Amino acid sequence: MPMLGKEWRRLLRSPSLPWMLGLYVLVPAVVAGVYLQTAGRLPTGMMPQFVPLMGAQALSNVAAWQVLLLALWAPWMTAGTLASEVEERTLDTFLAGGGRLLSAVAGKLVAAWSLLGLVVLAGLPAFALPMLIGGINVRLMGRVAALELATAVLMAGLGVLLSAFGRRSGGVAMAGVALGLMLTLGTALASGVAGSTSGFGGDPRISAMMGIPMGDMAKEGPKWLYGNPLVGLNSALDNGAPALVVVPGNWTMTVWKEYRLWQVQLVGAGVIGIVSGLMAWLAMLVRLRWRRPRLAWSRRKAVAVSGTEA
Amino acid sequence: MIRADGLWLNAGGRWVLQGLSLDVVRGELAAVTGPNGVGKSLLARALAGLSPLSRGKVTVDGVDIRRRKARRMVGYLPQQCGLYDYLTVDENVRFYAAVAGVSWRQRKKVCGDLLELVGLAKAGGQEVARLSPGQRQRLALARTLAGDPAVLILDEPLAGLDADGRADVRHLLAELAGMGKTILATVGDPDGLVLNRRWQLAEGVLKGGEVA
Repeated sequence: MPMLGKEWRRLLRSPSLPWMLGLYVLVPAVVAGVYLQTAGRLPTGMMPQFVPLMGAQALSNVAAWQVLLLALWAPWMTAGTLASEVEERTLDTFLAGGGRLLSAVAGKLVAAWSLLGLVVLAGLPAFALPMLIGGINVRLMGRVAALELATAVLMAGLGVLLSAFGRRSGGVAMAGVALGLMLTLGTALASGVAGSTSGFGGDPRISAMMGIPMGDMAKEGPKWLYGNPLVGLNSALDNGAPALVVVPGNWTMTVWKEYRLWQVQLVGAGVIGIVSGLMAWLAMLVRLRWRRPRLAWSRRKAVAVSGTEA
Repeated sequence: MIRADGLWLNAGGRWVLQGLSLDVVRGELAAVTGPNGVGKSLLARALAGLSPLSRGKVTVDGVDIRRRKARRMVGYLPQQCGLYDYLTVDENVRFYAAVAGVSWRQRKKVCGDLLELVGLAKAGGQEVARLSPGQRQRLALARTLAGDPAVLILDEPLAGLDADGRADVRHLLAELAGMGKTILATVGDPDGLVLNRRWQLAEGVLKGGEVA
């Protein structure tokens, strides 16, 4: 697919890539390094009790940072792509040259997913330091990496969907970042605020992260908090609450099964990511085939190019 | 080669094309002229199958432009060139060659030949963002030719160019017509283009169109 190769070049040549990659790998490495150093200075008698806790805490911090960064970076990477192709008229030349709209959308989505997959892989060494501290195993690490990948898939898909509706690439990219912020910090903040007014405590880890006193908390926050990838990460790290009951089907013998939140998020993110891509394609089809062209835009551009008015 | 029958197109509540018809035969260099804002760009987009028509039909060699087979016979050059600034000159042409279905093995040769034709053979590795407006326009033409289309629809190919740039593009268009390409350009002012056919777009219909 030519669009895939072209998109890879665009993403790899983006000036923001080295910065984001640096933030994604180096900040967690520094944080984990600090934990490693602190663990090394513990009195020998305290080590068996506290070192595993510190390892888990280090992994939790590293993973939370990476998930947060992916939730913001993935939509930033994809949200402007279709809008900029419309803006620059390159989508016109692509379609007029025999390209298919579906391959344009799919190429952009697959390129973003594959690059973010490589970014998650590149971030894995940052988990090595918490492993050196101790208290975590490879399985837990794999679970966290899978959740990071799912976050990237979800947010990149939502970014592409946003770009199908946008007119200006810059504005759509900002909207994508705002969506990432809303899903992560926004829901956490709202949960904290709701907790302080209604008595439920929200998610303990999120409340702690936001600096909200935990007080006498209930075990679960509001249901909409389940969409937050940081809460899913919490579930993956603790392998604990909240657990969701999913009914797979209305068969003669109804099967009830309990899944952990991170498992539900893993599947849900993948499905929503793919569905978002398909919806972006449909939205672009409608936009290109049925929307009336605007003469005023064409006239302004013509004047800008030729410098004359009719 | 390219034929439009009774095109009606509404833009912003105004009928920009009102039953417009035209026919350009193989190897002709034709132009639609008219003042800015009259709808030349929309006509070019409609002929390339990019604007939804209210009524009417565009065919290329008898095939409806909405079909992929017809679109592959057409090369469309928008007013804004439609180039990727983050790709090099060479990569832009190769990308569009791939989109047009040119095989991987042939792409290098096609790209080299086209850049030679438009006089950009030495600029292959250069970033598009660093090209002059004239070079961009020539590259856009090379990109339009990547799939070896029989018909070229060019929207204002001379706009925004200095005298030398316009002379280069005029020369190139004459050369392409000589190679048997069917060319339909929309221009505010033909500015020395040697045309086989010329229409004036006014009030949604074409006037003129006599063979020169």
